[in-house]
Amino acid sequence: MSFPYRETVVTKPLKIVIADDESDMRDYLSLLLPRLGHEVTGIASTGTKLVEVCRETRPDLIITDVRMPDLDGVEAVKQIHCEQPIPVIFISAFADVRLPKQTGDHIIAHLHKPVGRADLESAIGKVLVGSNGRPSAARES
Amino acid sequence: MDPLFAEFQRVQRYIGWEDSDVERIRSVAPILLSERDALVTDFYETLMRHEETSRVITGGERQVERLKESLRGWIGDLCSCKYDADYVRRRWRIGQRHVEIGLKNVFMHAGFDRLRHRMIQAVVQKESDLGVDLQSCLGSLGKLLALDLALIEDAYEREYLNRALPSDERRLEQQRTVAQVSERALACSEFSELLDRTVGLVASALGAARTEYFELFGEGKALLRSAIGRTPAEIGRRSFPIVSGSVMAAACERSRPLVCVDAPSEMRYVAPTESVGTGLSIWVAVRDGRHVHGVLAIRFSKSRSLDDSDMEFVQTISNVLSTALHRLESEASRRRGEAQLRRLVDHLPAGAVYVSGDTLFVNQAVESIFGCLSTDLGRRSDWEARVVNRSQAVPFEETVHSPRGTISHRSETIQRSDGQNRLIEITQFSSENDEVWLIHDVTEARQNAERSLRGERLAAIGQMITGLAHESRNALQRIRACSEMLEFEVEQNPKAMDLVTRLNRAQDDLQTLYDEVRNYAAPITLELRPTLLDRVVREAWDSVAMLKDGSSATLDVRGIDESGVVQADSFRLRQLFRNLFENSRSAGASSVTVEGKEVCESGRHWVYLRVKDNGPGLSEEVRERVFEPFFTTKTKGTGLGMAIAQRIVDAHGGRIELAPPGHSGAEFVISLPRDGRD
Repeated sequence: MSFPYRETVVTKPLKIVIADDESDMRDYLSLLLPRLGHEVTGIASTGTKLVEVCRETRPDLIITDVRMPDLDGVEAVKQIHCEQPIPVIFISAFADVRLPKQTGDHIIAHLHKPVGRADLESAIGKVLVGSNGRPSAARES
Repeated sequence: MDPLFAEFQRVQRYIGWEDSDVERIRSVAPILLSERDALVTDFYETLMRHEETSRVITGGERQVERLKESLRGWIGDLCSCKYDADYVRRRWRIGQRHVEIGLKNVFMHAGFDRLRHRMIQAVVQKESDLGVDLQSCLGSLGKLLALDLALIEDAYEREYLNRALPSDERRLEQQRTVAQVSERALACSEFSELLDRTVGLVASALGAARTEYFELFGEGKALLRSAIGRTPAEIGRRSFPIVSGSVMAAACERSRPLVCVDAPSEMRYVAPTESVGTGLSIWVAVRDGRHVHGVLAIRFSKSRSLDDSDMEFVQTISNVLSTALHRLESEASRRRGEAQLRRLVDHLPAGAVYVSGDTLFVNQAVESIFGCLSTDLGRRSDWEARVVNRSQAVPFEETVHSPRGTISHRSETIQRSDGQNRLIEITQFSSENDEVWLIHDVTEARQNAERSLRGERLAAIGQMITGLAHESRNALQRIRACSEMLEFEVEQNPKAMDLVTRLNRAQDDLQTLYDEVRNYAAPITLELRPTLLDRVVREAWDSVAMLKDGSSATLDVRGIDESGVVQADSFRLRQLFRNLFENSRSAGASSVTVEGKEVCESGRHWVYLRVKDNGPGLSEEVRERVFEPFFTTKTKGTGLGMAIAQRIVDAHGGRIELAPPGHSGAEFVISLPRDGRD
């Protein structure tokens, strides 16, 4: 998979919402992301919860698991993208997950488990601050 | 002086013939002449009453009239009293004529006696008319008739002897001919060849103008097959229907030869021993078992008599021809039978071997299974030399105690002439004297079965692995998350950090194992492209060489150049060779040889690659299990390398197998279809 984003240094801390049904992962991301200089503005354990949290906090980036109870990560992101185009990093155990086309522009990365600090750092690095002052997925010019 | 007449005069003197006798005959002459018609009529009436004598009459009433006239002339001569040389010659001629017509002497005597008796009777009755003494007259008449009989009998005897001599020579010639024809009949391989020779020999032995053989065919038709006395253009072309009642039809119905005195169209038959005129011919059927094969016709241009020996000769020739036909037909039938049997054996869709003692006879299917000629498999030892592996023979229980022999079953792996190994199944019938083997090449069937079994096993593993992989990835993710969180906690403690690093390495190894298993079990999708074998082999080698540091090893690639292009997935082929090379290097081999060869087999082009190393080789246990998944001899490794190699070759429609032991290192033989799989 190729990413149409330029490797860029993030200029300011991002507001990130994380979603995973595993508490170990939620704890890990909550601990890791502030160490990378970002702010975790919301934590969700289901897809439905993710949609709600994003609606409330309007984050700069979403990092979500794909397989989750009630609503999976892909469906949740589809709903969120109907309201606001927030960049997403998917984390899944499968390589062959089909990602929604209409949201393709806003998917920063699709990472396969197990994912470590280096993988996440590099994926978040692809998020660029847009001209409106909000971070967004930057297109290759 | 005429010797016959001189002889006659000597006999006259012997019986005391005098001039006075002539005078007395002159006295009785008028009486005899007056009774001449009555004498002649009586003579022929008697003759025609008896079958034996009537047979000499061949010309019917007309001939009888002619013969009566001759008898009248004879009586006239008797009474002429002119007993000169011409008289003698005429009497001589009568004797000769009797031989010609086949009149037996005994009947001549009987006829003569009757005439004498009737003459004496007539003279006695007319005694009063005589001017002289009756007794003297009867005495003279008796002398005259005795002289005539002596003359005629002498002529008969000499003529008979004259004729007997050439008849013996003819018989000898006929016997020689029978011997010659018989010899050819035994030796010939074609009936036509025998016929062509026979018609000539028969014509010559019988002095025939023409001898022909008409072969019967279809519905009542005959074809001139062979002939002497005909132009070559007439032979083999003239066919005609056999008309009912014709001489040909009559000959076909009889077992004995038949004689025809006129042209065959007149269809007049006479008994074989009678004298015949021109247009004489003999017809005899030649039989092929119960059916008439043809008719031999012998035609004469000159008048001649046919005796029993001539007829016997013709009959014998017909018998010899019939026997030859029978022999040729039996031989042809035996040859047909043999050819059919040979065809059956040669075209059996299975190999067949007949074993007698140390000698083997194999059919064409065996030749193609072994890739060699039957002469290369002439002995048991030739066969044994090609057997690489053999299973124990298993007897079929139900036939073990059969008195005719036993049937058993075994399988063998044999090496073809081109080095390829084939698995064959042998069903063997053994009797006391010989063995018969039925052979099937089950290499492909066994490979397909194994492939399909592997496929099924892989599908099951695949399902399991997919489930396992997902859950394991989630678990691995949690381990990773926790170990990284632990890192945050113990950043300042180097000892604890070292433990975390080791934990991460173990986790990575586990991850690699899962990836390999998944790689092995997942379906292989090939991206076929023209692939340079040489390059693939060298790239695979380079990647392995980089893995190993320190020890040096060499790769020798032979027989593959730019022509070594196959339709293949180069990524997968590299993986295949890498796995093979890795094993060689791990086993301590310092040199690896890859030898390529292109072979055309059942219309397809194959590339054969022998991968050989100089390592320690494979033990018997390893040889048996080398392609089994998870089987490994290394302390580190999943044991999937060779199983994956086999999957890659399978996916390409090829084969990978171990070369037979004998070579010191390990040797694998890979065959790949040059144009990709079907």
